[in-house]
Amino acid sequence: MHDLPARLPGAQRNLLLKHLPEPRMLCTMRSVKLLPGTAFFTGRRSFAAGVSKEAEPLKKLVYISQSNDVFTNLALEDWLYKQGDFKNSRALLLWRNSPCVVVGRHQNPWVEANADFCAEKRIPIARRNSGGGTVYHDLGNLNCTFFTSRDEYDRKANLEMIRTAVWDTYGLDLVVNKRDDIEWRGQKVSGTAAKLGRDVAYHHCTVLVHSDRSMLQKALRTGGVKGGYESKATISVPAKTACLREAEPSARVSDVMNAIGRVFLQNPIEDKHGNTVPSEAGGYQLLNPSDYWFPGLGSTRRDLASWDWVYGKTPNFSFSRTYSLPKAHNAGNNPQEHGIASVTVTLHVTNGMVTETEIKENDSFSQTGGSDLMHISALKGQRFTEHLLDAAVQRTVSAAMNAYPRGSSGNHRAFSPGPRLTQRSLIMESERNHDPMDREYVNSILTCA
Amino acid sequence: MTHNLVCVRRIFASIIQTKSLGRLQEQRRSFTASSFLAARLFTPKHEWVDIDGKIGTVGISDHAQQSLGDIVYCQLPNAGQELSQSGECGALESVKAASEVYSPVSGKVIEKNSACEDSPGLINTSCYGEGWLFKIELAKPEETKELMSEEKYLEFLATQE
Repeated sequence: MHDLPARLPGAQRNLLLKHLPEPRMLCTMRSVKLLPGTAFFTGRRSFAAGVSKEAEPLKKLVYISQSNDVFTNLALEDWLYKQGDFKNSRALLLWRNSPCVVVGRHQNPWVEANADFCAEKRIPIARRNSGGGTVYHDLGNLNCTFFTSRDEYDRKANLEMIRTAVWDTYGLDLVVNKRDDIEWRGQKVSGTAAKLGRDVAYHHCTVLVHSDRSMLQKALRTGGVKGGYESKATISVPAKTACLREAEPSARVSDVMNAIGRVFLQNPIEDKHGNTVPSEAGGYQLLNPSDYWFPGLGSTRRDLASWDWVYGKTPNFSFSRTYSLPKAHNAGNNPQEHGIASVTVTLHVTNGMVTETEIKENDSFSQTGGSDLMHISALKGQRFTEHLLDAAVQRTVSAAMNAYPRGSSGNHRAFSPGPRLTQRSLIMESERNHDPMDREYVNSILTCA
Repeated sequence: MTHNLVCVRRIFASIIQTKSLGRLQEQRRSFTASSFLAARLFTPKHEWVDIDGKIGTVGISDHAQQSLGDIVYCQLPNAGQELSQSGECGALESVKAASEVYSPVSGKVIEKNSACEDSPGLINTSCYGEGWLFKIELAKPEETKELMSEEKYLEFLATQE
């Protein structure tokens, strides 16, 4: 029973599902507010015995989500966090997702994720409720969520369980570092984040078993193309990653899942003073995260997948980009003045929407012929993307070029509108000049959690 | 050799003991002194509210600040927002953990401390001073009866350890 593979044959799965309560029972308990979560998953017995809480041993349960959808799994985690009662029980939720990028609660997805790459590969970007930095998930990555009461929240102890499980299974000696990441030979195999509420807390972490690291690198903006963004949002600390399979070719997610579950159920629980607390292993349960089993889950999922949450919850920020544009007409008679004018445009973004536009005329927009700034001020009230600004600048320049006839001057090529002036000819200096190894920049990201 | 080690350990233990005792006494002294100046009230979840007429200033306690560690992000309720007692009203992020902030009283937010949003470290360095979180106009002044005085809060903290 304890050695349950992640994917069960149908009959066995059905057998396990019998251990879940009847959905009607869920509803009844919700309505009388006796609910919550974990206790009643174990059935009537422990619920009825819930009166004499002091004497009862702490119940430990391992849940395995049957969904691979990031929004559904985040909704399930949130459901357990909000509805669960972990006064007298602890739960470990094991889950994994199809390829996706997950940013921390107070992060900027435009800074953290490579939006173009994600769109092209149809990799969804999600925002979780916990703190910390951005991670990439795929089916080769296992996520573990440890639910406890707020007072019993202990990240180090949880990470130690994972360390033990990997040691027991593969004999790999992992190290838990100061930032609560798990490393193998100095490379990160697991990242941690947590959510602390009034009564309940959860700590979740990733375990890279055999993720596609080239996808990970492309999907995240790890290389420092973060230039131009200014905000108080927390910034991810880039780290070299490794997968367990690189150290142990036979590593499989299902085995790691079993091993962590087993250690969680078997390990004794200690209180703050180091005394062992009586506990009881409740076993494994497969969860089918649907509205049927978890009332309200569907609407939480919808909220988590909405633009308003993923992008709209971004801490206020400003984005500046410097464009090098061809100089315009009034320089026409003097060939010395032909060339490039530099213009910096800044967008101020609140709740993901452009609220203010600002043009720093380093070399005057008018020199480029872009005196009509309508296209840029028209961005106010629109949902922010980097391309939005590029397109507006391009429109401004194109409009100017159409307004002036092809001059007799020598720079008539720079004037000619149409395909020649494509996105590529707008040199983005903010990106080009941003050296990722710049000391100040590295320091600034290291000081963030 | 072992004897020496034991001795060293004992000496260290006694130093640590005296130090922590001293700190505790100091803390008590400072708390008693300040309680004449401000009637700061505490919740069991480590928020405080300092009431002046109908206006309460809210923050988190020194204990909460210490257990959170370095705060790197601070999200506060906006002016005009209506809060209920014990309702979620913001979040503090420290070393990868997002902690919810709860309002100790019901009422309408009249001001948030933008300085904290700009430099969240203020909450660590001055949780009872510059690191206050928001000001609220009390809707139900009677709610404050459920809160603890500083002295009671300290006693409560002692029982939690």
